Amino acid sequence: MKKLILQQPGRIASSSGSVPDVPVSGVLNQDMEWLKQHYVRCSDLIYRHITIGGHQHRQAAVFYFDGMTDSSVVHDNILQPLLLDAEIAENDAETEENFRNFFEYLKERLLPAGEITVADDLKQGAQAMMNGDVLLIIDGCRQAIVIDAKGFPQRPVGKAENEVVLRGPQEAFTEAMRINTALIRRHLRTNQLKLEEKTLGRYTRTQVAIVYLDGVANENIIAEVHRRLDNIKDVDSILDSSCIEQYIEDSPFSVFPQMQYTERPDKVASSLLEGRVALVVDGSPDVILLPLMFVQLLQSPEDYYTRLAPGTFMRWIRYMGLLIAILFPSLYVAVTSYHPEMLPLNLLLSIAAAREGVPFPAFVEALIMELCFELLREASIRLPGAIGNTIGIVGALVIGDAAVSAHLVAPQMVIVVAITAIGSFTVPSMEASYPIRLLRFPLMLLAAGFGLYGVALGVMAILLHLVHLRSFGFPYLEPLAPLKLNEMRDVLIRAPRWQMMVRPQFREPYRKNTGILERGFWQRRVQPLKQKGDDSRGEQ
Amino acid sequence: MLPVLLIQENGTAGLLAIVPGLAVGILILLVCTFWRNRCEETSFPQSLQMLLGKPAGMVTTFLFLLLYLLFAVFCLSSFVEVVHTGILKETPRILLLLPVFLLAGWLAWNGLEDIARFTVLAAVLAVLLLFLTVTGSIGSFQMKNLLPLQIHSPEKLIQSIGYSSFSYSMFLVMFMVYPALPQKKGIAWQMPLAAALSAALFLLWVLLALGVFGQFSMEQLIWLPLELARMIQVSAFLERTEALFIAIWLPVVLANSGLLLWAASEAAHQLLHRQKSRWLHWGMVAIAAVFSIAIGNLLQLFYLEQALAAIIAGFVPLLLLAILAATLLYSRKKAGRKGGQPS
Repeated sequence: MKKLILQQPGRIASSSGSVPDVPVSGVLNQDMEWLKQHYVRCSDLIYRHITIGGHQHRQAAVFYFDGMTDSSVVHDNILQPLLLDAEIAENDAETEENFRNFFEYLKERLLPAGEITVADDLKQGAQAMMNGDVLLIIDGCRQAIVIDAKGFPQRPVGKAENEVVLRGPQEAFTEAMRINTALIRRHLRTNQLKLEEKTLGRYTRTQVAIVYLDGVANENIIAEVHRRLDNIKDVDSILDSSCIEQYIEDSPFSVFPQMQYTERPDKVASSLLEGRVALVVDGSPDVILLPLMFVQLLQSPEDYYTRLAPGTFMRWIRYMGLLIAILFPSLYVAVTSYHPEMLPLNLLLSIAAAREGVPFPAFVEALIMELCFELLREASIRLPGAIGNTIGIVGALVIGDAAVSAHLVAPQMVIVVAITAIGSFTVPSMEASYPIRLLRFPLMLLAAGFGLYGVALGVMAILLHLVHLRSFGFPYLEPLAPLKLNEMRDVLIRAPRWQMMVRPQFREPYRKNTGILERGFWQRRVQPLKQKGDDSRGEQ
Repeated sequence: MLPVLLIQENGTAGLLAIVPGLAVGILILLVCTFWRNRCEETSFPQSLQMLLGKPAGMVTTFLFLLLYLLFAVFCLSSFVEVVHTGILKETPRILLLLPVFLLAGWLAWNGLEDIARFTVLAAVLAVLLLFLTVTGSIGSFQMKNLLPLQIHSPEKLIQSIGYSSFSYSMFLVMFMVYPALPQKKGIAWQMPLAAALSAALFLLWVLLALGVFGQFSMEQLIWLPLELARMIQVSAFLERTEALFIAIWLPVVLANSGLLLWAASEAAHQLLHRQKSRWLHWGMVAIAAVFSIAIGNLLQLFYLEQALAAIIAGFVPLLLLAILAATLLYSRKKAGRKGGQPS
C-alpha cells in the first residue's frame, strides 16, 4: 500500500509559527536518523520504534532523555496508550482524512498528558526533549507531538537558609523555575500576575521568567528588562541568576549591587506589590528583584511581620550595624593615631596601657585582624557544616586570644573587630555585605593617612558614588536623595501597615492607592482606579 | 550653607555688619528671579549677550566664570587651611588639597541633579552640625554679646560690610542654576527657598559665634568653625571634638564648591559653545587646584578674600543693576513686539 505522507498540516497549527530549520519529513526512518545523528554519543538518549495499536501502517518512534523525564509518565501515559489502548480499525483505509483523524485522535483523546504541543521542526522537538519532554514522531506525518513528561530530579521546597526570620513564612525557592513561579502565584492569586518567559544561553538554553503585576509595575521598567535580556540572548551560558545580573546591571564596576536577590517567595510577592519586577531563572534558587534602592538592602521581611515598635527598633539596629561595620575600624585607627585628645582621659590611659608592647601601629593591627577575620569567614563557608562552625568559633577565640597574649595586637582591637563583624551580620542582604567588607579597607587606609579627615574623604567619595548610582534608571539613594518625605515612613521607622497605603512613588505606579481601610478610630478612604478585567480577591 | 570660614578681623560691629550682606544676598536672588521670569528661553551666557551685546556679554560671562572659580578656590582652600592648621599640621597641604578638588570636580562633572541630591544629604549634616554646636556651646552663649554695637573704626566697619557681602555673594551661582532647572512649578520656588535656608543657617552660625565670643574676641579669631568646635563640651566626656566637627563640615564645603565648579564649567562650555567635554571640565578644575596650591599660606588666603570682597562690593551691585535694567528693556521690547503683531 502506498505510504501516505500528510502534506498539509490542516487544522493542526504549528506551535512556532515560523519557517522550520529542519522540517519533520514525515519519513520515520529519516527523522529517526536525523535525531540520532543530532544526539550522537549521547548515551542518555532513549528511543523506541513502536507500532501504534499494533496496526502495521501506524509506525512511530518515541524519543526522550533518561533522567529528564518521569519514567512512570512515559510508561503509563505514553507507551501504554500507544501500544495497548489505541483503537484503530484493521481495515482503516489509508486516506488523508483518516490519517488526519488519527492524528487528532492521538493528540486529543489517546494521550492523557497534561500538556501536548505539536512541532513541525525537528530542532524545536529536540529542544523540547532537552526540557524533559517526550517527542513522538509518526510515520507519514509532517508534525511531531511533544508530550509533557518532565521528571528531572529537583530539591524539595525547604527553609530559607540565608534569609532567616523568626516570624513569617519559612519556605524558600528551589532550582526549578516552575516550582518557584508556583510559590509566587500562591501568594498573589490574581490574573494580573504576569509571567513572560525567555530562553537565554546558546548552550544552556536557560528559561528566564519576567514576573510582574500588570497595572502596578512601571511599563518602562518592564520594557527595559525585555530590552536588556534580548541583548544577551547569544551568550554561551546562563548558569545562575547572578550571570544575568552581571550582564544587565547599570554599573558593573560599582561595588554596590543594583539588583536584589532573595530566596523567599513572600519577599518577591511584597516587592511585586510595590511595583518591582522579578526575574526567575531556571536552575537558580535566587530570584532577582529590580529596581533596587539602597535602603531596601537593610529591610527584612520580618520587619513587616512584627509590630511597629519592634520593627522600627530592629531597623535602627541594622542602620547602626551598617555604620559600625563600615566605620568602626577606621574611626578607631583615626582617633588613636591622630586625635587621642578626643577620648576621655580614663579611656585614653586604658588604651595606651593595653597597647604598650604592641609593635605595630594601629592601622597595621587593624589590617591584620580584619584580614584574619576575612580568612576565617571564607574558610568557614567552604568547609562542611560542622567543621566550618567549629573552625569559625575556635579560630576566632584561639587566634584572637593568642594574638593578644603574644602582644601582637591590643585587646581593644579584638573587640573592635568583633563588634565590626557583628555589625556586618545585622545586614539582612548577603549582597549588601560585600561592599561593606570591601570598603572597610580603603577607609582604614585613609584613616591611617589623614585621620578623621581621611575617613570623611572616604565617606564622601562613597556618598558621591551612591548619589550618582542608578538602578534601571532610578536613583539608588531614593527616598533619601532625592528626598521624598512621604516615603520616609518606611525608612526612618517601620510605619504601621494601615498607614502604608500608597505605593512608592518613584516607580510611578499606575494605581497608587491600594484599597479601602477602616480602623474605627482612624479611617482613610482611597478610591481604587478602574482595573481591566481584574478578578483579584479581596479588592473592593 | 555658605561655607565662608575665614573671619579674621571681621567681627567688628557684629549685627550691624550682617545686614548689608543679607541685603546683597536678597538683591542677588531678586534680580536672578526677575531675570529668569523675563528671559525663560535662554541660558545665562546667551542672555547676557542678548541683553548687553555680544562683546560685553562674553566679557561679563568670563568675569562670572572667574568669580565662580575664585569662589570655589577660596572655599576649598580655606577649608583645607582649617584642616591643616587645626588638625593635621604635619601633613603637606597639597596632599590635603588634591583629594577635595578631585571630589568637588567629580561632583560637578556628574551634573546638577547629583549636586542637588548630595546637597540634601549635606543639608541634613549641616543642620546636625548646627544643633550639636548650639547644644555644646550653649553654656558659653550670652545674649548681651549680641546687643551692643561698638564700632571701632569706620575702616573696620567697611571691612566687615565687605566681608558680609562677600559671604552672601556666592548666590551669584543662581544665575547659572536657574536656567538648568526643569520647568516645573515646584522646582522654581524650591531654589530660592534652598538659598534662603542656606543663608539662614549661615546667619545662625554667625549669631552663635557673636553670642559665644562677643565682638572683640571675634576680631581675634581666624577660623570660625574651628573655634566654635573647641567650645563644645558635653559634661566631662565629650570635648576637644574639633577634628570630628571639621570633618563633618566637609560635605557642606563639597556641596558648595561642587556647585561653584559646575557653574564655572557650565559657563565655560556655553561661552565656547561646546558639548560636555571632559578635558574642558577637568582642565578648569586643574587650574583651580593649581591656583589653590599657589596660595601657600593663611596670609595669601586672607589677601584673596579681601580682593574678592572688594570686587564684590564694587562690581557686583553695578552688574546686578545692569542686568536688571537690560532685562527690563528687553521685556518691554518683547511686550511691544507682541502688542504690535497683527491678530
